Amino acid sequence: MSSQHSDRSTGDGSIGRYQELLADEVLWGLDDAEALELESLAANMDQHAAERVALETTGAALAASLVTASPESPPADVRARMEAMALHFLASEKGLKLADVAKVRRPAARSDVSPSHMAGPGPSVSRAHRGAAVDAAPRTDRTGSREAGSTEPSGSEGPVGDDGLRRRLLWTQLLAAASLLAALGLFLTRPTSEAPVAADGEALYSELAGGQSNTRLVRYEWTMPGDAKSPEGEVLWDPVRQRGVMTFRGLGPVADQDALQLWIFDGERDKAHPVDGGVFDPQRDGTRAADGTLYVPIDAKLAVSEAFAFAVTKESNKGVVVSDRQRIVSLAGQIERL
Amino acid sequence: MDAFLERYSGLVWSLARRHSPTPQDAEDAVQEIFLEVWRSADRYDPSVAAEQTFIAMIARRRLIDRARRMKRTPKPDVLPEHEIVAAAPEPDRVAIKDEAARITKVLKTLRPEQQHVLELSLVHGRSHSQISEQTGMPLGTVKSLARRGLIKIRRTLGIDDPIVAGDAGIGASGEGSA
Repeated sequence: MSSQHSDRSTGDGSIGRYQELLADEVLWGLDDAEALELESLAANMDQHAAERVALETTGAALAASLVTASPESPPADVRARMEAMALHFLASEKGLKLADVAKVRRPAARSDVSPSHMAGPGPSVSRAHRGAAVDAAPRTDRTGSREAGSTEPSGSEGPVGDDGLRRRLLWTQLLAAASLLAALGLFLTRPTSEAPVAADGEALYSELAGGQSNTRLVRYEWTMPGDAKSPEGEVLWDPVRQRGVMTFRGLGPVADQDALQLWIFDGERDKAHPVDGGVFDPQRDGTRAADGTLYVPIDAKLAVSEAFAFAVTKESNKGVVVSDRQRIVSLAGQIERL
Repeated sequence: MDAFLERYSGLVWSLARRHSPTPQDAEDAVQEIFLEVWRSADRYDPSVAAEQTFIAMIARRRLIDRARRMKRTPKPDVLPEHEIVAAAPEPDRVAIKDEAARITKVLKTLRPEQQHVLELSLVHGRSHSQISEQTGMPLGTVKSLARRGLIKIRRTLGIDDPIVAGDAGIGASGEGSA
């Protein structure tokens, strides 16, 4: 027993049981009865929070070390989803709006944050922080609520360290912000003559339509409500790799001052603000097959979590940030949600 | 972000895959874990724990919570061989491997069966009853071995103060001193 750890009112038996439960929590988790028992016993333990975190840190360090001996890389599609999710998180939860993004400044020395520089291992354990916490995140209790009185990390109030994860994640945010800024800026100024993406639309269509073990492919046919006429064709969207392609048959030319623009409606975003899916000119962009089918790659400017509808509108050939949706050319997906 | 994912996606994926009943569940767990990592980044204190420990702690919490939520015993499926790709060694991983080697060296001071029980629990997410069934050891012995092993490693690594007032208070059934 630590000299600072005291059991104020229980005997050795209770201490033993308390220690068992602490270890079991790390090793296997506790059921409801065990959790209540631990809470009851912990009420008499002065250093409960620190003991709990120290043991959990031990378990995590052991797990990390054992896995590091024979790590496995995630499949490519899982990795792609991680990246998409991270970007989406940074954009949606970190408030990286255009105004905020414009304020982002990139530090001069990019090499400061090279992986090797940040690889300083740091202590795996604390020898200086007696009772201090490494509470990675507030522990979620069995009801999902945050644990009251959980040890607060010392790092949360201190200055940002020179090394380590916090700094790297800050960089992640900055770089993501810069990417968003670049994407938005490009979109606002891009002339129609630029192809949406360099990829061969027909080849992309073949790849996506061919399956390639992706069971989450979104596939909708173009349609229009009522009697309105729509070109034939469809949309294929791969939510894992965040890319897709549109096909059109019977899509007529547009006037010189106009262009077509795709909008992607994301279930996790306000439907009044669909994601820009790219501007294209049907006479100049995309890939035209021998049978007349036009294949146009989708160029989503933001991560799309849950695409449920696609709309093509006729806009100025400079592109627009928000469409008035007065000149809808074609729709695909669950259009009733529009 | 690429560098970060390159370094730690293997750790998170490896833990998630071994703790999860299906590959799909593992994918969902990975996303949940990384979301928590992003959200908790400003809580990280490099003077207290290594990055991989910080991330493994978040991962294990989430995985245990997920298993509890699902109210079923995790029975990881084996992924198709082509989906398991060994991570290529990189210079970036040297420090991580050094740290892992140090902790593994401490782990090796435990009895082999104790090491095995800890690995089945911490890395593979096996319950004590599953470990008992898999190893043929009595349930009480499994619990005792794991508890004693965890606490001994904590003490050896010097993670804060030793919790234990001697080994006598930890477990009892069928297990001698670690």
